[in-house]
Amino acid sequence: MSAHAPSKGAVLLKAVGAAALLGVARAATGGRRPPRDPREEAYADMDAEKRRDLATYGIGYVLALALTGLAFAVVTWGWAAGTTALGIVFALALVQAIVHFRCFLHIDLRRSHRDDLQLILFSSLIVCLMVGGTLVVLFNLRMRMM
Amino acid sequence: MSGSSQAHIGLNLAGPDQHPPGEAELGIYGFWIFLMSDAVLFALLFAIYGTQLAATAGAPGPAAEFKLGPAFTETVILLTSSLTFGLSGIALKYDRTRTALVLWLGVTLLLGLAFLGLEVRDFATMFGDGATPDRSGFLSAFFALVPTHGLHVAAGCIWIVVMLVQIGVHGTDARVKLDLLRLGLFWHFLDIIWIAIFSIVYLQGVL
Repeated sequence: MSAHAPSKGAVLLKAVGAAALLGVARAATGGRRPPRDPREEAYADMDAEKRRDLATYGIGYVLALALTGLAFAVVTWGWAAGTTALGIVFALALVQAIVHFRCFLHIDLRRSHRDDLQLILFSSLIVCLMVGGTLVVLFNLRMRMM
Repeated sequence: MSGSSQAHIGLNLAGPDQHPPGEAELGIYGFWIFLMSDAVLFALLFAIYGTQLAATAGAPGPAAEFKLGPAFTETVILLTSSLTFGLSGIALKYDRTRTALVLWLGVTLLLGLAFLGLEVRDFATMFGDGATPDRSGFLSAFFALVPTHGLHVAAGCIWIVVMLVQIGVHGTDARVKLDLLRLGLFWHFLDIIWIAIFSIVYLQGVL
């Protein structure tokens, strides 16, 4: 028993050493190696940013397609009926609009974007008041005239 | 990539020949105000459509006239055009040559025209069935709402052509870049309007 314990420790030590070596090697060849001149750093920066931008549009497109497909599927194959289906469709539309704002129009919660976000939220409030008011008044009128 | 280039909405363009940050920011913000006023216009057209849903007056109604197949195709085309416009923005931001930018703008233009073609064909089918705007309140509201979006897409297509000419004449200078940013916001915004149209008009009509 006591003879086995040190050998276990040695194995562990070796494993840690190997992992550290691997890490160093990766850092030296691929990963975040310190760039030699500022221009190279700028390019590496640009590359990362380009990948991020591409990913934003890609994710936005896939999500938009999925949400659209889901909404059409609910109606086409009658997964839900009547008001429930309508509620699902409207909820999916709302989510998709938010996805579009986030991924295509680049609206997020960053401080520098607050002005635009506030403008959009205020416009949404105005739109809700006007559309909601119009519908309530006119449906009420129709009900009274029936 | 510094703080100043992150100051406005849209795909932030890095580059030496940028406007002073304040100017670009203000120009984009002004365009957002226009977009939101346009959104109010569409919202009221939607409200009118909502009030006229039942007012078919014996003319062909939503369930008879709306077909989900073409509506789905149009939706996918419009979504894809948004992606290709995004790719043109990325080409504008990172590429040294203009080839990819012009190519993606061209693809976006073609997709926009394909969308318009399909929509006009839909309208022609409806007219063939006798569903003309003068038949009922419902059809009037429909033809006020959906073609307004179509007109916006047509305006966007013309704008793309204008930008292609400007890129050819001026290259991608600061003003052209800013205009391309605005055009991008416009194009993506039309997509959001279309989400509301296919949900409220087509899907609700068929339900």
